[in-house]
Amino acid sequence: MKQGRFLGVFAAGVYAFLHVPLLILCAFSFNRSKFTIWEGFSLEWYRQMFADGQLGEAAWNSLVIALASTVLATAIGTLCAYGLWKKNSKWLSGSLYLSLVTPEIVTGISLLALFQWVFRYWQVQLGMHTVILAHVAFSIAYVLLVVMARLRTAEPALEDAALDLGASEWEAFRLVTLPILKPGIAAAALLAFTVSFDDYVITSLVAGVDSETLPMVLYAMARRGANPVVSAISTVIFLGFGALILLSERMQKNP
Amino acid sequence: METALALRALEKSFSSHRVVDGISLDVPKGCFYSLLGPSGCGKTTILRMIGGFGEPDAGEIVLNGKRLNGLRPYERPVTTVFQSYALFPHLTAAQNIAFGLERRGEAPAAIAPKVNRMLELVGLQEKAGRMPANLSGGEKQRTALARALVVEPEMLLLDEPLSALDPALRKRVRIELKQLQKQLGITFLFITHDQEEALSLSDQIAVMNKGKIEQIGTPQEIYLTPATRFVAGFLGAVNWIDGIGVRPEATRISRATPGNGARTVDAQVETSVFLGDCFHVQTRTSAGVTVTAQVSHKDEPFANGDRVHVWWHAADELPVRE
Amino acid sequence: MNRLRALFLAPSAAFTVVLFLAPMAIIVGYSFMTRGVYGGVTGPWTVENYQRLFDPLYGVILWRSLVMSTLATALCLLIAFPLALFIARAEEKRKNIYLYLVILPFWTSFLVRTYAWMFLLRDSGLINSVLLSLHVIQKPLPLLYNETAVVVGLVYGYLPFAVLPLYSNLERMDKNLLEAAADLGATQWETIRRVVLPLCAPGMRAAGVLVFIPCLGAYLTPDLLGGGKSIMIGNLIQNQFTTARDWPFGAAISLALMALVMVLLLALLRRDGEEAL
Repeated sequence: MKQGRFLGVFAAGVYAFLHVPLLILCAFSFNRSKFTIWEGFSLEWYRQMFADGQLGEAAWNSLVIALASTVLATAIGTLCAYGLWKKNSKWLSGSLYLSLVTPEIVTGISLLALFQWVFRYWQVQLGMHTVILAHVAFSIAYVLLVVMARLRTAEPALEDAALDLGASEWEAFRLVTLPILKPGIAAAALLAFTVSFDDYVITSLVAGVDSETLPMVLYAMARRGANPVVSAISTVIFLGFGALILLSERMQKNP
Repeated sequence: METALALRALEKSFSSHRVVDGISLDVPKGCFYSLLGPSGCGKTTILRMIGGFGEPDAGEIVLNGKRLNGLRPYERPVTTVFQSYALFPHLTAAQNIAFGLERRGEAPAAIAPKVNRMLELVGLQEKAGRMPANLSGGEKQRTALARALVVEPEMLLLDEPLSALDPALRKRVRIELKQLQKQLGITFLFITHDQEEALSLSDQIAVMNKGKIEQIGTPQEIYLTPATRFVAGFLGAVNWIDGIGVRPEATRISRATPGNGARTVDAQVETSVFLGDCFHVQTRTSAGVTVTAQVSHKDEPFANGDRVHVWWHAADELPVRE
Repeated sequence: MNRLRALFLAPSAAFTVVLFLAPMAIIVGYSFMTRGVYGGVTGPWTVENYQRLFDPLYGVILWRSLVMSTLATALCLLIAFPLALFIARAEEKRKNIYLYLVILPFWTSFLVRTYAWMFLLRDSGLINSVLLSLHVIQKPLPLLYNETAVVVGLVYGYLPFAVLPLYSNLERMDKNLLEAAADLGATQWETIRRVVLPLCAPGMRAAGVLVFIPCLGAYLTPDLLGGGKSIMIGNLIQNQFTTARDWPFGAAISLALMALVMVLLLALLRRDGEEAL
């Protein structure tokens, strides 16, 4: 079983490649020194992180944007998936899947061009609302993808059975299909939340002065050079997402 | 007898393929009526059109004097037992059964006793709180039946409801189903491709092929006096000797020349298969036709290569036209 | 039903039209216009923006993007195949954990993942610090801000996109095939080369396209790991819309990029059908 051992060693190497950089980053966020030489345990960078007002505001903005766009995109995307499951609409599903593979930078500049164009006629400015709109727009396709995958495994006869027993189409959706879709919708919401919370490229283009997000601050700090506070923020985000995923796994296992 | 369901010149095509081709039939009230035919003969399409899951291109569906065409499924006084049962996986057996009553806006106080009575009727009192995933195949089938019956439909549609069960269970459930139908007196329209199932359950059978009805009659009628070669062949094995059809159980073989009145051909034994309750002896006539005869244990044994007379009574010939 | 379906599709249709198709239409329009004096766009209509794509000044960036994306894709496939094979052959109960470990970093912020490499590669980063303190080197190696760093970042970022389709392809494969090939006297390597790899071709194509497309449109990775020197198409587009303020040209590059993405996807869909993705 020489080949099996080779595969095992190789896989271990790939897993190290995937995880070690992040683990090192997390470890050094607890380093006393500002430099990448271990000098002892310290929570100094976390203290600085929590003391930073701009960071706090950005994190709050990110959270508000992510929550708002998750709720909207999950609702809209789920309805869309259901509608397309009943009968496909080529232009709509095609456009949504295309939006999924459109490079972020293209999505970002096209939205910026749209907002600038609209603002010529309508006195509003870039801000939280434009960011939320943009996030909803690009999250719908993710939600569609996840919910559709779940719908494909659903049995079409279930809705027939509901109608047959006297349920209206709306009741068949609400009382039968929607409950069955719950785990899929939860997974879709989680994905929408992460892509929204994580987005930098599109956000930075359509954000206004009052709507700086955490990734935007993080980006600016990362560009400026070595800063252990960035490692601390990264660790918090890393653990935050990790907890979120564990939570969702739990929820899916014991509904 | 009073007619419950009348189908009048029903037609339905899917992308230029005519699946249902001018079907007319009358289902008497309280009748266990079967649509029997091979898969793809259009029987399921008919059932779905009656249930409201697809409109006919032409023709009428009338139930107890009321035209059903154009009504949504929830506006039709019929319910269906689906082939896959289609039990709601997130609801318990009892909640599944209560679903239809709730949709009809019945008071919760009225629903519980009805559900309990139904659970009792199908023998599922113990399983009321179970999720469908934790029910056996037979229990699922009975839950689906109870769910469809509890709303007291004017007619129950059954779409091959026994095909998902294993053979041993299927035979038992068949008897239960027949007893239940007699007990409740509800008209059943039963779809199946299994001739044994149709023969043992039905009061009346319509045999279908390629979107058309071949013959309508009682089980005995269609088995003993099939109108067409298709019906004869679909309901059981047939020996076709010079255009004349004889069932294996009516076909005799003997070494001695048979007596007067018998129709006879000469043949040679090819194989003999023991089936437990009888032998199936396969012979080849001098004209090269394969003829199978059902032979009892008590008859003289036949060996391969034996030269024999194959014979039958004229009265046992199937009266097929064509 | 049709009314309910229409009602259900209305919000997503509205969002798609207003916030995806309309912006794209604006970009198409801009790409045929002329740059204004203060940025912005004006008439007359022209195809000059598209002609400039072939200007060597920009051509070198487009060419670099193609080369680096191809390289990153090839590396991803090379790494992903043995890993997918490892997972597909693992015990049933362990498969999920192994897959989970592939996807897990993917759930972390992309920015954080990119920063982790900056942390490792920069002059004062971990690798240089360790090497310096061990006196292996006398001055820091220039690990960051070059094309190698960008390719490493791209591979790191998009590896899961390659592992998942390859895994599902291998998983669907008849396990007996592997055993049968071994029984016929083929060594295990020959089995992989002659049986598994050819049967994995659809998975390879899907994985390749799924990695290549985001690599080609990458913005953050070349920006942060490549510095100003190894910029790719994504950075060029961003530059036209911000610093250079040449929106028409930026629009033309965006559409060229979109065209490339769509050609690749359509080619894959035509070859392997919709199940490919």
